Amino acid sequence: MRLQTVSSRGLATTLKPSGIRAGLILSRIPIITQDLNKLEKQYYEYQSELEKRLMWTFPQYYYFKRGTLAEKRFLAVQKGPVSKQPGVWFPQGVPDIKHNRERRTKQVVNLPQHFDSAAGDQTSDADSVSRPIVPNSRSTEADQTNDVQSLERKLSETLYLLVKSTEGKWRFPSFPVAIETESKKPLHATAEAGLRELGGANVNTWTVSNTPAGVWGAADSAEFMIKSHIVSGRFDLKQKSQYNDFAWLTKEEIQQRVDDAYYRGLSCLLAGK
Amino acid sequence: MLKSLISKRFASGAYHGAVQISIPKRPLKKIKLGKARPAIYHKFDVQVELSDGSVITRRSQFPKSQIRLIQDQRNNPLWNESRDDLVVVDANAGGRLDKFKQKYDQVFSFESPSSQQPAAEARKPEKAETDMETKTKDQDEDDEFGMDDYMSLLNDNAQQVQSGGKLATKKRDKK
Amino acid sequence: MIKPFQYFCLFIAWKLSHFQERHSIPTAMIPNGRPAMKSLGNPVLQFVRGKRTKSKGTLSPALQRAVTQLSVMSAGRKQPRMLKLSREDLVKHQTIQNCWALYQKELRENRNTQLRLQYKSTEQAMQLLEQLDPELFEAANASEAGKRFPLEMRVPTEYPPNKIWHYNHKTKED
Repeated sequence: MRLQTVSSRGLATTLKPSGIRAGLILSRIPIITQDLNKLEKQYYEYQSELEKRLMWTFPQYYYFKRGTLAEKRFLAVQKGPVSKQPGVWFPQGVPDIKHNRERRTKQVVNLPQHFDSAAGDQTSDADSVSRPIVPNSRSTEADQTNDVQSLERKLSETLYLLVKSTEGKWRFPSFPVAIETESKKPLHATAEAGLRELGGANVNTWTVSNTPAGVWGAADSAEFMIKSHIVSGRFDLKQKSQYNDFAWLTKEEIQQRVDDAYYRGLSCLLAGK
Repeated sequence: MLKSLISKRFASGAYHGAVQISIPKRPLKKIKLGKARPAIYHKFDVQVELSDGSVITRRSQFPKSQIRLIQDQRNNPLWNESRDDLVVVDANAGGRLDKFKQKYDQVFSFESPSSQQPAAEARKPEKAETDMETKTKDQDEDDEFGMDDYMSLLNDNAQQVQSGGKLATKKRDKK
Repeated sequence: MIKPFQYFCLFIAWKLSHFQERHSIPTAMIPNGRPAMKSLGNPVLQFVRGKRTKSKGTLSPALQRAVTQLSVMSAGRKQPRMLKLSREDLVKHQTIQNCWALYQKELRENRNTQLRLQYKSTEQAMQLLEQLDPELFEAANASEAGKRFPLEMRVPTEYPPNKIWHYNHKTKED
């Protein structure tokens, strides 16, 4: 990103870069889709029902060849429509049938369950390729125990790494930038190196940009926030001199733990409600 | 235009032995404004299980309610550079062919060893020969463009085209 | 490409034209197109259906087959009935759609304000960085052409995978 350069270049050299720190907003992106709220759920259901009502008749002759076993199996589970009879009163309205489909309502097509659970052998049932699909639960063990140090909690929301300083304040981790010109590193490099020093080397992260996404604090102790994502690996607090606790928190939980001004300053950088 | 298209469709004789027929001209039925209806094909909700066990739901016209992917992005080593715990399931495992093989492989197995043995015998004298032979063999193997070469190509850190290069400009007519 | 539905329309129109042809015989028998009732001298003409000489229209069997196939494939036979909403239902539907549009607008505005705030935040940070340390500012402003999105990041799915997080990552030393 290219930002407008301020004309006050001369001022820059006069100020002494005393306490620049590189902060790190390390996030774990959601693993499962968002939880829908009531409105969304109802609206999607309404739309899908509308679409089902307007869908054309299922072209059964196209997918099942005549006289095959597959067709037989398919037809066996179909519930045929009520056909029109002369001199009969239909309380639900007179049937209007074309291609074996009641045209006034949505077509219900039952599909045969063709994974043979009874016929197949039970020995290789657990890892057979044709076993029925049973989706995993959307809430995990870490959710039940409320293990805030686990990355497997709140799968549908973005989690951020927060650390607790020895004074008892929750903050995003931040690391001092070296002042000496020989060992000076750009902000994102400082933040990445600091994270590995703090939490162990076996963590795979991806830093979004070299450019800081925000700043916290005034000129003498400015903390420039670098955004990064954790892709895999584990964060474990190794050094306990500066920080003594860490947690993976959602935006809401961050608001509860962090003091108000800090949250207000940085909340626009966080994803969530 | 439609009529001509129809007659063309039938007159073109799409397949061998088709009788060439042309449907007589018929007056077109006009679709009034607001009376056109979109084609909404019948679709089923399908649960798709990806190779790592995650499930997504999508809609498909194919009459099947569950699909299991065996190989996809989530267990392909190309997309998982740092992982070594990936499980790749054999596509034919547990299928009808596999069951058939398990049952009847012994019956037909008299063919396979006989075909392997001559090859093994042929290899033995080769090993005994001089190093020259093996060297040439290695060279041959190098010349072959295997799968690994593609991998190396893909792993190259390609550079994005940077802006500020030559842009295509409109050329003026020389006349 | 002609849609099957258009085939169907053609077919219906063609059928109608034949129907008119077949049933226009009685009026054609009347001289000068005068109504039959008024001519008192003549007895009243009555249409009597005679023996059908042609099987079905004037089409050859092959053509007839093609037409039948077209009509069977036609969209009109596969379409459900039109949705006819009563006035109350229509109002309900419109209310639902309006509600959804409002909700989407709200979400969009929230997103836009957040993006604006994020841009402002970055701008502010860069301005401060330039004042504090021009060297770091240059480094933070360096071009990042060729930077790639990590291949190992995954799109959220509806249900989680069997192994949710890969903890045992080993950083390769190179």
